[in-house]
Amino acid sequence: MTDVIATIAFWVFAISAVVGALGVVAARRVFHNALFLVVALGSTAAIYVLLSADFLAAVQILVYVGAIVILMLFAIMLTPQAVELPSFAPGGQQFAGSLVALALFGLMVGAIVTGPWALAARPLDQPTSYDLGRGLLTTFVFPFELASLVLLVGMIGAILLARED
Amino acid sequence: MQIPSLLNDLIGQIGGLLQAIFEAFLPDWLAVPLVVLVGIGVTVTFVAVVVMTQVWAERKVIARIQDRVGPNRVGPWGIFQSVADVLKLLTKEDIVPAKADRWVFVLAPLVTLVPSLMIFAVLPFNWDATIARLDVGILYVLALATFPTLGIIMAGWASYNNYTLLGGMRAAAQLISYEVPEVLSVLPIVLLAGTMSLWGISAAQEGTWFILAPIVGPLGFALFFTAGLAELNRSPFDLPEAESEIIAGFHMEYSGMRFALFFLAEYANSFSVSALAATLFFGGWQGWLLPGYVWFFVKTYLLFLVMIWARGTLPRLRYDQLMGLAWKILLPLTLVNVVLAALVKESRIMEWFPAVGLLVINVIVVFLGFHLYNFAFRVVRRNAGAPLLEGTQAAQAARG
Repeated sequence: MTDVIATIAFWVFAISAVVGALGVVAARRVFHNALFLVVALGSTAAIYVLLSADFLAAVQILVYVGAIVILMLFAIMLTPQAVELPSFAPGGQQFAGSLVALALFGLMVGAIVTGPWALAARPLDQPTSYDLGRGLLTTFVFPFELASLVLLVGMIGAILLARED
Repeated sequence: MQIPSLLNDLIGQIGGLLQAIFEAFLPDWLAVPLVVLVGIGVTVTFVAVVVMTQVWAERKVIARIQDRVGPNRVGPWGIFQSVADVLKLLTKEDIVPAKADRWVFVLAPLVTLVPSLMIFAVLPFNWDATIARLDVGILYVLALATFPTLGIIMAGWASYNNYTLLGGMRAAAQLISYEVPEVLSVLPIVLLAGTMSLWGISAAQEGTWFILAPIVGPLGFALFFTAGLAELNRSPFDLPEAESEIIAGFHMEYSGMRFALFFLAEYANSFSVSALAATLFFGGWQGWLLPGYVWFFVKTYLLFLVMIWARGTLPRLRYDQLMGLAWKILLPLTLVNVVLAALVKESRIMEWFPAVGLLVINVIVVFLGFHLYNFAFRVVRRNAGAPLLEGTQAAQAARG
């Protein structure tokens, strides 16, 4: 029974993720684009939950919906409301756009098809936060600290740019 | 694929019983969703009843603070006032402004309310009454707590009104600023308890509540509660709906049931922040003699009373004060608190000292901290030349 529910849930969230992603590019108002992004990101988080990656799901919502999309919406609210986005210019822009999209799609399909997909060695319903925390502070401590340093530099740079003196 | 078992213990047993009854009469594919639906219905009803008690308590207490009587017509002490309010809201006309962005306008109250209800799934009401003992409970709550702000922004934008837009923008800026200290103020507790599950955090406070952790406890509670009030848009942080400046802020164009949904979400969130504070710092269901449920609700309602008290006492912050408080005061203090929590954890001070000793230490710390703050405040005032005060003095001098 739970298998059936999980399968139904997977398809619901998979479809809503794709619809959200399409909406991000197809909607003609910037505010709607951002809201579709919430749908796409939220559905991805739900799929993480189905894959028993509960920590990842919570962080996905907290960081992307809670901070990034809210920040985007904040910026969008400073723009006029009733303006519709211009459609892509025909010819060069459309051609270049579809070329880039196709290349990226091909790359991802290639990675998915050729990648070795080892099955998890342990049952999936174990909590993940313990292993993640351990990994971040032991095996991956250097990349972790490096990422923090890069973010710190970015932050200081932003403050320097925004400072008026 | 496997869904982690969400129901357990007492609630799980009731659910199991219900399922057995349903399965006796219905096919399997109908019985399982039906049990879930019943569970959702019970949760929604529970939240509605809790919110009604909160609204009544708030109106009564605020009235007493302002030397009024408050609601006293409907039922004894006016306890059925909230029922009358709900009936009034249900029967009101539902209006969508002509220029509004219809879909976003209609969705906004739901985006605000549904995640607020989902938070109730992880609140540990008692050791055998937690719907989901989620391993990342506190992160789950913090993640869902960002959705109400999204709803507020949607409402503010979709209403096509300058005042609602201003309310929505204020909400966005406030959330981004206060999310940082709120998440960081929870970190010391996670460190002390060694788990992110709310059930586990409650269970870890069997000997001593975390509020007794020297410095870390009281400071962490003050930081969490302040940031929580700001995230709730409650007074004194109610800039997104400041009546004297932007009328009703983001929900100005909403009427009837749609407005009621915003209202419900706001109070449900007040309850969950009070419940979180009770769980993180005051031991949740831990207590003596009385059953855990009673302790949980007593602590939660007492903390909610503090929120009402703050609303009745404190004036609303100015915008620059709001931002200054988040970035210049709360954020550095939370970072200090994280380091202190690591020291408390590693020195095992909580195991050496009896609870009374910890209490004495904390009372001294709070006393000293209060006087230090007062002193610093006076020095800053004197050095800054206190423009407001001087203005008042000049006005008084001019008047003679």
